[in-house]
Amino acid sequence: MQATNCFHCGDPCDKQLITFDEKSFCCAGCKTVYEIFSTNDLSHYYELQAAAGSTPDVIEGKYDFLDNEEIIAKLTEFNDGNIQIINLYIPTIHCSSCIWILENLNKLNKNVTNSQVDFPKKTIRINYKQEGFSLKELVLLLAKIGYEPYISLEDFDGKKKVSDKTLIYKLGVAGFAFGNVMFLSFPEYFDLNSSAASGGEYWLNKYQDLFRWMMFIFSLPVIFYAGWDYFISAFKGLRAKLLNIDVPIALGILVLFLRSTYDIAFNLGSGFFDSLTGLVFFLLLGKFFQQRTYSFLSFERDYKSYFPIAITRLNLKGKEETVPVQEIEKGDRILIRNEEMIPVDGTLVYGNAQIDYSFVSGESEPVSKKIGEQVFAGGKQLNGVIEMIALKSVSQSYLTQLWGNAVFKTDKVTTFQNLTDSIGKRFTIAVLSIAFISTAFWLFYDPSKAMNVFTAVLIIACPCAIALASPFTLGNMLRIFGKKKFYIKDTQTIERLAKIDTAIFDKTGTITTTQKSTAHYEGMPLTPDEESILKNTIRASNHPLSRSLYDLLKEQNIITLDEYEEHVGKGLESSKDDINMKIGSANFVGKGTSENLLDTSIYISSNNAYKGRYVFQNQYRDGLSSVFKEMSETISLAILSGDNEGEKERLEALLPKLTPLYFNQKPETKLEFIKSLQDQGKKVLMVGDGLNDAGALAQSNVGIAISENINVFSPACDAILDASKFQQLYSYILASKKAMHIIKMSFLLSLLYNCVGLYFAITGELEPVIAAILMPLSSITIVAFTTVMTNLIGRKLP
Amino acid sequence: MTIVIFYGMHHSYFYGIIQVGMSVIYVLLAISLVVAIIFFVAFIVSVRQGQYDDAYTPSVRMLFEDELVKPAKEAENKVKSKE
Repeated sequence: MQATNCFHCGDPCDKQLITFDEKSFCCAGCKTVYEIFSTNDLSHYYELQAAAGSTPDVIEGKYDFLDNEEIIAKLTEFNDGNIQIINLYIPTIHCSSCIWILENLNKLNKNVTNSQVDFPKKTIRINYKQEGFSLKELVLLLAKIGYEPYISLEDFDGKKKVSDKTLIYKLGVAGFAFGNVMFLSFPEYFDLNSSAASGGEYWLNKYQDLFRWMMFIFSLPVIFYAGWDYFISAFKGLRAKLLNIDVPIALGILVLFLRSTYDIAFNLGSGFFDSLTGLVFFLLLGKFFQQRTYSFLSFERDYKSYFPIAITRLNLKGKEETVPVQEIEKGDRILIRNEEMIPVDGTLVYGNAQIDYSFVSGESEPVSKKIGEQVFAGGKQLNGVIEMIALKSVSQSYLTQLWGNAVFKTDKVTTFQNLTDSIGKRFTIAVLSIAFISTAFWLFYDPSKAMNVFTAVLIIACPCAIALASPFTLGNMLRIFGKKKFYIKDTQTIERLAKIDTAIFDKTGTITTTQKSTAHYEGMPLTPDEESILKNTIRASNHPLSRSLYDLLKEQNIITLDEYEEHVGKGLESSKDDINMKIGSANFVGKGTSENLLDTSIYISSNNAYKGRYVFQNQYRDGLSSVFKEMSETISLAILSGDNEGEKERLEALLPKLTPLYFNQKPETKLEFIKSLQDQGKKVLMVGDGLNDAGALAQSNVGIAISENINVFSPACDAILDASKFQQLYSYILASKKAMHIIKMSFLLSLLYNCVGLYFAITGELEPVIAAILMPLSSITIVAFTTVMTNLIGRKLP
Repeated sequence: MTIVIFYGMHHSYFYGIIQVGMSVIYVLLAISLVVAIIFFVAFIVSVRQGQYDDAYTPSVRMLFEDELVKPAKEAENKVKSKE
């Protein structure tokens, strides 16, 4: 069969092929979206980008909670009873067609007055008239055309974070002052040491004071607003008895300002206002460059971004009502639909629970629960509707309590001394001793020059270039890593990553793939008839194992079964002609006990005779062995898994010998394990994927979350690594080590400039114009050097 | 306003400026300052309004057609002619 791709979403139409309007579609959903677009004259959508759509996936009743006034009030940004404005996060936004169709929503529904997409953030801001329309209808409309918004408890909690723009304002002020001071310095640059008597320009001399005092005025906001953070940081450092890099910077700025003011007040010279404002401007530029925010990613997620906003509660009369999850109290009877998440711990009272706890515990297979058994928050129901009685409120549930741990409240940034600061100490001591020694010399030799030399040393030694080396190198690395699908939260994480000596991996979802599972058959071969019945039987079942096995079995003709029955929690039974097959658990097919309790298998019997079983295995990521082998040379490794020991032997074969493997690890034990390593002085890297790793990721020195799809969720972490780049993890660690070497080389380079400057300073010949040339020159050299070097590293990265 | 008077023709003679009211230098400085401050305020206002928050979407949006009906029909014709 020739491979046809869906006209709407571009997926191959191998399971189903719908032809409509001379175009092929992979499912009814895609066809419907096409129909909606074409009947509304919106098929331009497919013009902008071919096969741009995504398959709609709507579950009945999922958005009923949006009828609740209280919830609407909290979600909307603006609501005056007539017009409402809402910001929605739509993970499927990915191309220009998406922007186009979403900004033309008013063509699909007249009540939408305006819609604006923020592509990098993947959000849409919609204004709509409430009359004859509602938030629920809006969300359903979006879902119907394949742009289902993601609404979680996080949106519900408080207002949106306002991004901090202070740095941009400060940069603006410094740049403004810098430009104007340079402009006002022009007469001084072109007409040095001139006076009317020596033939200089009359008017320049006449207005010299005006120009100089204007420079003074321009430098005031630079000192007291733009550069003020350096004084605060230096002061904090000194109080904590730390000589960080901001101490010599603050000292330099202060001396620059005082000396310049003194110079112009007593008409000794033009002052160094150009160097002063330029210095602060370059420093702030470095800070700005260091910031790289991935606005579509979040590194701060806690359980709230996973949890639904509202849940269906059954009141005493047995009627369904929607309530915000926070309002669930002990004893409430709650209805959980298929694919919904369980928000609280409770007891199952109705239905067949097949709960996927992979989020919470890392166990890969769903767990069946019987009526009367306990279910825990964070699990996802996979098999129809269940009802449960809440035993606790949301905040007291087992999963959510993990976030009470103190680890989530401490900031890694404050507990780490970066390379620049550690060099700052030695640097400050050196500069101060040079300043004092040369001053002492001049006091003895020519006291009139002593003060000049003292201030000149502090000015010229101001470590602007040193302070720029790290932000530019690491800021560049951040961008390079980002292009390689390794998204790092901030530049400091790269420094910490370079120091790692221990790496801990989670198993399920981290070193195994979640997308495909492999299975092999053990037992007597099945006849072709039996194979055909097997495939047709599991075709109808929604059990996750059946779904995976169905995809693994080879293509069979569709036949009509004579009998089909699903025994919930046990297996499937079907018959065709004279063959009766049972597929399911060992007990169900009459095998007796399972051969190995830890394996996940589907057992098969035909006419009550046991035939064999399909054993499911975790599919490990490609190149796992080689990654571990390379890493084990410099880094000690271990596996911490929430799963059982079923895969132990296979893992041992794959990984380097003597790699420690720990199974059945609970979220808190993972956290404690990392803590105990850190107490031994280890620098620990944690690589995980689920909420169960959240504590460990927060505790570790660097927490990396592996994600199959970066738009979907990953727990709070320092970096997110796209799963396809798992093999490159070690080369990324090595690259961050190289980046640290570049910073060290830049330090040497800027020290060279400092030596040249110090020559002028110590001899008492530092003219403002020399400082004004030397300072930007050294900064630009450093910026150019780091940019070239980091790009060289980036080019070598696969 | 300024009037420049030459005191002599030889180049070594300096020429002076006699001030009438405010010197032109004050006017020029004031103008340059006002212009600079206007741009500075414009920058602050645009940042505050969030004009730099999304630097990507507007670049795509400006390429879209304003009128929908016409391109949609063309699109159909194109698709049909391909087949």
